[in-house]
Amino acid sequence: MKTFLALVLTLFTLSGTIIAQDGPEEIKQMLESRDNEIKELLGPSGNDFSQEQRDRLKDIINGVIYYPAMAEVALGETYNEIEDETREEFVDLFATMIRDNSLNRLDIYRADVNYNDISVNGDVATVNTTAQLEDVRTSVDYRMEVIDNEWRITDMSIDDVSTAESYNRQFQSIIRKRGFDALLESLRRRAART
Amino acid sequence: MLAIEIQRILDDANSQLEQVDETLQEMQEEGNPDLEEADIFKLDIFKAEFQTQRIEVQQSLDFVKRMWNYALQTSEGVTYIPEEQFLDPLPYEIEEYTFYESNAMQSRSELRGVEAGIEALRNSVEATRAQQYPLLFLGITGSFAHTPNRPRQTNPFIINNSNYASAGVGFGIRQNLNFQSIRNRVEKTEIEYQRVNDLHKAVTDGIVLEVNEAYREAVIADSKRKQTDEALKIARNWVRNEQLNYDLGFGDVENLLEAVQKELELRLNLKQNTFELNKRIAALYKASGVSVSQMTINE
Repeated sequence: MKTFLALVLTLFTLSGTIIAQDGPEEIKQMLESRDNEIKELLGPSGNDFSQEQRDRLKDIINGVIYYPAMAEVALGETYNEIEDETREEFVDLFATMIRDNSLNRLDIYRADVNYNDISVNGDVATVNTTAQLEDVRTSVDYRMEVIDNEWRITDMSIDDVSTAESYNRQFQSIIRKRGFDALLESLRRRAART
Repeated sequence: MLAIEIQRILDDANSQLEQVDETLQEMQEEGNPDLEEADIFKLDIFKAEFQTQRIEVQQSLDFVKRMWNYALQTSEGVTYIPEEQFLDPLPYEIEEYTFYESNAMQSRSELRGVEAGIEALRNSVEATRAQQYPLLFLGITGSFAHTPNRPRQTNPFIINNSNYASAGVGFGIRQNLNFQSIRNRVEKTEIEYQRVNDLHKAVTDGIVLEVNEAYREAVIADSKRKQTDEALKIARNWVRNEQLNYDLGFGDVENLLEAVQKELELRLNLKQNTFELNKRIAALYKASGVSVSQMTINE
């Protein structure tokens, strides 16, 4: 009986170790695969893109992002205070803005990416990378969580500037000065520009 | 390296300004009601002022490059470029002061040289003093004769040197009587010994002062760099904030340009502080007698 219990305990510990070791590798493969897909679609520098290609790029770049988590950080306490329908609209508008902004400078996706560190703690991971394009070096860090059995990005920091926290600062300022409705209205106007 | 980094920052600054310009032009073409005429004027003024600063910095960079080429005696069509692509701080943590001081006491060649001199003079003083005292010596002599087949001789003075050997004992004292001269030489050697001892103290004091100064400057440079790095992170957040404000129609050009300018200034300062820090670390190593080739070992 004791031997059996010891065996079960060992197997349980080992499986935990194997999963932990798989985590970083799995994340790296996923991000590298995404990166390669983007580079393949981008092609050499100087290319023009059709609207279809731009939409496809948007999907690949942003497909791995989990917007509700990022929107929750961006909106802060107000996120849980608003009604479900309004919350859903807010997340949708927020996602539209992020997706649009992701295509502002396409060249950055041609950068060579070096994975400095990937640390996994249960269902949360932090990925530190350095992207280098010609003479420009940029640190790009991701915060990731397991959502529906998949690793998804919940925040990105570029040169130590967190996307979610940046939006949080801006949104809190707008809410303080003009109220949540003004914020929602500006997001609707922004989305309409797309 | 510093010149190259500054060039990069300038190019990036230009590109950022062009982006802001494009954004405002798009807003103008779209008839965006959030855009005010004053915003366009503010941007144009900023661009003009930036151009002036850019020319100044560019001239300084060209000067550096010319001096670099002159120092390296480069021929036509030959360009030297640094091995490293980016100016980064050395992977080095500054230790406690006592580490560098004790290292200096053990490793600085000037101290080793003076200490060797002291040792030599100490022996010289001993040797010179010894000349004042008498030299005592002892000698021993002996003899041996062997004639197994010769008949007995009655004459006691018959000696055959081939089968005879002799030895004797002697005790001697040698004393140099030139006491004044010896005393003078002893005094002279003692003065020299004292002088070198004083020199050792002066060299030690000088080294301690040098290590102290180098350590102080390295710590200050390290702190400056870290603080500038922190300030740059804050400036980047500020720029991002202003960009997002603009994106949502709450933007102010003046704030955006101020944020961009501050960020650029801090990027420049950071590179300069990094350069300064690396220099100070090298100076600290030199002061503490450690080879510069070991600079990347401590991480």
